[in-house]
Amino acid sequence: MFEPKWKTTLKALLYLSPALIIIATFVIYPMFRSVWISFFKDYNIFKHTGTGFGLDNYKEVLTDGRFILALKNTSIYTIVVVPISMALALVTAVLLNNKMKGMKFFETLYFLPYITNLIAIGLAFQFIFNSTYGVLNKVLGVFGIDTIMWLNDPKYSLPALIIFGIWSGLAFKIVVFLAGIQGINKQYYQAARIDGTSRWRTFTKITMPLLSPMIFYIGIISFIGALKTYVQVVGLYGNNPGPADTAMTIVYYVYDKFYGANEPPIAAAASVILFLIILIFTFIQLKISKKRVQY
Amino acid sequence: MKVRLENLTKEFEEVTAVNKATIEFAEGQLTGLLGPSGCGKSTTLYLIAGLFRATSGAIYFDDEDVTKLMPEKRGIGLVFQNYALYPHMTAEQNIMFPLLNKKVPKKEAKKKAKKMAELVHIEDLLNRKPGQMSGGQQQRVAIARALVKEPRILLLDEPLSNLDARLRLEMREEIKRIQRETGVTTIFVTHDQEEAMSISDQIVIMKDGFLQQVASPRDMYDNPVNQFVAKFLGNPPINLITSKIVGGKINVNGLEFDAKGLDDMDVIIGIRPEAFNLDANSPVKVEVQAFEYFGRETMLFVYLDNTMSRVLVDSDFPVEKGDSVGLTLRNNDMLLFDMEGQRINV
Repeated sequence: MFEPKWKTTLKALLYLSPALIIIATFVIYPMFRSVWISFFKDYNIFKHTGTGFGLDNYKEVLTDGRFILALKNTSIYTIVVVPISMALALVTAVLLNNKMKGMKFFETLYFLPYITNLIAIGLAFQFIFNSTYGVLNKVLGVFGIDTIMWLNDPKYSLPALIIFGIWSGLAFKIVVFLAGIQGINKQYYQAARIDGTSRWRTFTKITMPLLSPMIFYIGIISFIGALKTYVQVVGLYGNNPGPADTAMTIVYYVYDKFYGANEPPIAAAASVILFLIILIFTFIQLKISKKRVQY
Repeated sequence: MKVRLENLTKEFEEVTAVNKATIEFAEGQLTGLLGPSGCGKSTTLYLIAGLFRATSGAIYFDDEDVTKLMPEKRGIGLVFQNYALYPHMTAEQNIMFPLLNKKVPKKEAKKKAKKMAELVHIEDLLNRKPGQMSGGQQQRVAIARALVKEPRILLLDEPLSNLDARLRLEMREEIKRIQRETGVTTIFVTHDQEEAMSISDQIVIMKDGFLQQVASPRDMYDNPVNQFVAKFLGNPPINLITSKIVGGKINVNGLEFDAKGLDDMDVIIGIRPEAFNLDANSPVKVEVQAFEYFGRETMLFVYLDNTMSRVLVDSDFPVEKGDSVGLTLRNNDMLLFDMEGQRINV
């Protein structure tokens, strides 16, 4: 029934080759190349020649105030956005699962941001955040809160980015959580009901543990996604990282160094640092999950 | 606790799953709710549990009307067909769960869980999760979880259908024992007549949403109300042969039955396979068309009035296909039905 091994392997490779070629060209090769570039003081990306091999770039990046700011902003963004958006998504998914009225309408509504381009959403948010005409200030005004210069006040640029980040990531998380909840056997809930389990206990003792593999998966995905935040900044601020760079993120720093400052080796070094940060945290998360994910 | 259903009806969109059922489940007894699939037996169970709302009719626990009562207020224990044990909890946590819901102190809950585990013989498995247990063990945990809150009624939905044959025999004895020891009014759903016959104090048999008969296993086997019940109980099944009453007698392939006092009419006569004896001297000879050997008994397939019939005989009498054997009857062992399948009493 089985053909000789080399033949089947070759066949598999052939089928995989389109994907492999694309991944190799656009992911694997650039990855190694940028690590290589990051060690040169000067590097010509067209001729592939460089001078001054060493760790100088890393020293420069790590002592650059703008990179430290980017690191700080990205950390705050990640720490705030990931848990809040996950909690909101989970609650929304549970509510949607309870088959409330107007379900179909909501189904369309919550899925919209997922299929809409982030830049377009960013433009919409520019209107929402607009200090004079924006909806957000109008709503806050009802509660007696003074006009906030969301996009122009350096104090509020990161909060604005965070609000946008939470919102833009919700749809995907809700979809995954909802699918997860609907995959839980209904009989667990019937059994819980007969045993007089309160709604809260049903959620914490049954839904959450049974959803834990999915919560963890979403956790890692959104954690990595948050560390790589870039499009949100562009969507909200166009071609500057907020007033006085206050919405600078690591990936924006990388982009800015590459195109803006035309310093590919510095950009490469910064991206390698980001890669290491993500690697370390993902590793830690996987370690934790072995202990915490319930089954 | 006695459970009484009065004119209970449950309609789903297109079908009436339970149709005006009036049934009484005796207190402290083990009742088997029996019927073919789709007969409404599981629906009846879920109506008693409160997971389904009745379309009309009423459910009483003793004299309390519980028809509109939420399931959690009914004080029932339910064991699901696939047990529905929480996969992320150990056996002990599963058993303790209903108690912790009621804010029983953890220490006391643990003690009660241990007692329950002893009752169902799983005290060594308390730290295992459902995935590390066999089907029979999971079922024991499920029963313990249902019983730990001391329910007024224990309901079991097809408790044995997910177990292999050997375990099934073991677990049905266990269910009987646990019911005896706790004395809790128990209702279990099954489609297996042998299962229902072997452990029930009382059998409730349903078909197409309608109640057919409520009786003890023996009574139901000996005195079924209609052809359906007669056919559903007993394995191998009863032989049903179309015949005629002529002058208070029925003649089937030369075998004579007594039907004194009945007018001449067309009837269906039901003869259990075990109602025959082999007798070489009998004038009634039939040819063995096929046979099945069960060890202690052998089943012969023969034609009686052109109807292929089963005859169950002791195995000490060797037979071959094509043999001609003599048949006699034990007593006047038969059931009579009219052409609509209703029982005619002789």
